[in-house]
Amino acid sequence: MTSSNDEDRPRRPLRRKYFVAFFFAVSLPLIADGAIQAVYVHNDQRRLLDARLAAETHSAALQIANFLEGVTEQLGWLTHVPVAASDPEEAKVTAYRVLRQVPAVFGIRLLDGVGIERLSVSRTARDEVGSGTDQSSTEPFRATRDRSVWYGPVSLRRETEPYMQIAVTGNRRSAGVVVADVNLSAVSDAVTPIRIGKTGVAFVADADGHLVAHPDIEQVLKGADPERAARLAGLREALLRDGQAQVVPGLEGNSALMRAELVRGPGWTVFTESPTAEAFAPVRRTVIRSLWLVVAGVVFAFLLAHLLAGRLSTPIRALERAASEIAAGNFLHRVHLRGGDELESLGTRFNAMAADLSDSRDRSERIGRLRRFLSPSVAEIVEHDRDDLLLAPRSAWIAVIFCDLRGFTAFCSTADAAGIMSLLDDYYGAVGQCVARHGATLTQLSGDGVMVILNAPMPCEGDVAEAALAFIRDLRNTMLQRSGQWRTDALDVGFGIGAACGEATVGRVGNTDRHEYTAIGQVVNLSSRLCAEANDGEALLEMASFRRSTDAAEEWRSTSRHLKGFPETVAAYSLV
Amino acid sequence: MCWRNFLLVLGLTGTLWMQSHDASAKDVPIIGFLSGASPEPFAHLVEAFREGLARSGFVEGENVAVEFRWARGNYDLLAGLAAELVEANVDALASSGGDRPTLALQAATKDIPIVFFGSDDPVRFGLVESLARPGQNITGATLFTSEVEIKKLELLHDVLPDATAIGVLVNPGNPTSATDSQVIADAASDLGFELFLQGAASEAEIAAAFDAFATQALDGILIGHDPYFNNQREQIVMLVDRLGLPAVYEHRAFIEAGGLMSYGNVIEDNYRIGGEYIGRILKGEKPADLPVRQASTFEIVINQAAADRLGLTIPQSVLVRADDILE
Repeated sequence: MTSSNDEDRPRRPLRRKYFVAFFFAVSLPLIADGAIQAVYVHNDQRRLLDARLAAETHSAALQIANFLEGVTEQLGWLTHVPVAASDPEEAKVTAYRVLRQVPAVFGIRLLDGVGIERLSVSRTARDEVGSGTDQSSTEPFRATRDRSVWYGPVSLRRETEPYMQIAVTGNRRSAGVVVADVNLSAVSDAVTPIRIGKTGVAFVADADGHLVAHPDIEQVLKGADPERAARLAGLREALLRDGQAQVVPGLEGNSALMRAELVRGPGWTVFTESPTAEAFAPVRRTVIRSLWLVVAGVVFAFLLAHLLAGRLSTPIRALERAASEIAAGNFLHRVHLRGGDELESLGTRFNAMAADLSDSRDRSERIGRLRRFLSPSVAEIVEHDRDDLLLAPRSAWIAVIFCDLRGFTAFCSTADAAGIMSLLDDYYGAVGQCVARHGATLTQLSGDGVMVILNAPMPCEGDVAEAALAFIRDLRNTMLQRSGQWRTDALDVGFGIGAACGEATVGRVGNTDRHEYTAIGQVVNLSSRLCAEANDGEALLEMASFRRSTDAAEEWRSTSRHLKGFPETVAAYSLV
Repeated sequence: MCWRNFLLVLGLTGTLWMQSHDASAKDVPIIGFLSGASPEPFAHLVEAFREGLARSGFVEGENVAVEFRWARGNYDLLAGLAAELVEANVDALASSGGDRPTLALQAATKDIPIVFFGSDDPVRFGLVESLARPGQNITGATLFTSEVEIKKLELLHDVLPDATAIGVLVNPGNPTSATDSQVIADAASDLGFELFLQGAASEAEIAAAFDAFATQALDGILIGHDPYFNNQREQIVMLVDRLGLPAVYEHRAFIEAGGLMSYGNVIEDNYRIGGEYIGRILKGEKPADLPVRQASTFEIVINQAAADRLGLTIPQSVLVRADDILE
């Protein structure tokens, strides 16, 4: 019964609609929440890292500056006495003292005011007093002409240890210049322990962008990489100008959050960097978590849509099927829906509708049946008689006409069912036509007997007896014609008619499903008895009822009959 | 049906993910520690090595095991001990006591990472290609040795300005002994010293060398740098004492044993660096990429009690330089 071809399939099924709705209901808040969280986490992380980088950079820069200042301060002791005038041995002891105080100093040379080397002490080489070599053209000597401290370029001693020359001169240039080789592992020590997160580091570059210290010594050992040096110099400028951490291409060129601070003295810069990939990993994690939630939301929306659509489509399909059943005439089909929701009430309503339809159809069928025996007008009234006023029980003056077949019982015992039904159809058809023609009411139809009344429920025009007489004449003529036909068909069936007029109680009897319009009273009995009394083809009319109407008619003969249940003989007219 | 497949894939992915995170059991790495010396005189250095390991997060007995092999001065045993450690398939090798154990390990394996604690010249001995880029399976830390002999001689000169005859003890078993001898001879002539050079590579030879010193009218003694001498420091200090001569040594350990004075690197630093390097190698770094580090700390240690016994006045110029004066 259920049609499942493509045309009947919904163009946009509930499931898809629900899915879209749930998807948006679930995903949009998740996406919005994820985005808001990502922004907050990003800002927090940025602020935290900025503070962390600032603290680390500052502390490293301070540590390095302090280290270098400590070195130059110690070297300064050697500039207090003009080296040319002092006892070289005394100067040597002072130099030894500096070596003792500052482990980072590897060797010291004292130059006099014109650049002649007066003393050289070293941790590994021979100490020399008054070598007298001319150092006036060397960079440390020349550079200290216009400044009191000169920091040389960083070089690698024996390939792997960064060293730097520092030259210091006192307030009197003539007192000479102290040149020291300084091991810079202390600078590395300042930045090596710094770890920002897992991979964030700090490193130091000089003013030209060459690396001085890096936790990974290899980076320093790479030496002069002009491209990287230029980039670091640029970074230094940008970061120092801004004074804030920035996302820039870092040392290795990969994006990193960086901060820089100048080291007092040598013009170096301490950089701290935290690779963006790691720095903003919490942001990425937040986004990924949100995406997973969205995925979970999609699954959830899908399941929910599936479930709800299933919940709905099952009853809807049941209703569809029920509609089809009812369309096909199966009014007994019922839908069974549970759930206590609107669908259940819809199902209940549907079942009620089916019941109503069933009733309505029964009614129509009954009326259709009645129409055959009532005149169309009466049938119409019965059908549309909503207030039941016409059919309400009352007392009325009516004509009651009975008609039954003679020889029917004998016929039934010999004929087959089809023959019986065919004869009855013919008979009822004939009676029905007469009833219709005269606006009479067929109240009873049982076997071969029919009962017809006039003047109820619809009053007839003119005199009841005359109308009844006209009806009887017509009925008798019709029946004569019919029984003549039957006789020629070798069916030995005749008929008899009885009629009487009088007061009777008329009205509808029966329950709501099945009710009939009938008349009850002495007149009915009288008419019935007269019919039973009538001979084949004879119509017996109770004289009192029809006296006036039949006066003019010569065909009526007066007769008197003794009727069962009536104490006296009844006077009647007979028409044979 | 599509959603069901999706769920199935989701479930499978989850299961695989959990399984991949389940694999965690891993054996503790093993370090093979080869030394040319004996455990007792090197106990403080092993301690420094452990400190270095701890710096890179390894604690012996907890997340790392150390297999020790000591040649106890018998360098002939080194090859066998090295082979033993390589056979044991250790994860990294540590070489203690000069270049000889490192050379033995280098001969035994080209794959297992080797870290040395005190090489005199790793490039010259072919242990590394360069200090910056070792290039092979070996890296470590160097000491200033040969050149520092000059400073030791200078120190002797500062303490004994009038000295002329100096006895020098070197170990011919040390690959640097020839260079050392040359450096010492050059510096001695500048300082006006006459040298009496003796070589010794065993306890008996050391005793014989001191017997030879006893036959000379010496003003002082220089004990050359050598891990075996470090190992034998009790014997050497005792023999020097017996001669009643001022002597200059390489390390603080000699002074703590009763020697007069020392000038040299702090070897413990190198053991710490080496321990840290081994830890980093165990964590996956390649020795070829780890630059050879250099000792950068020098110290002068003086034993005032020894000086007093010798009736020696240490000049002010030396005392101001002393990092430590033991009394």
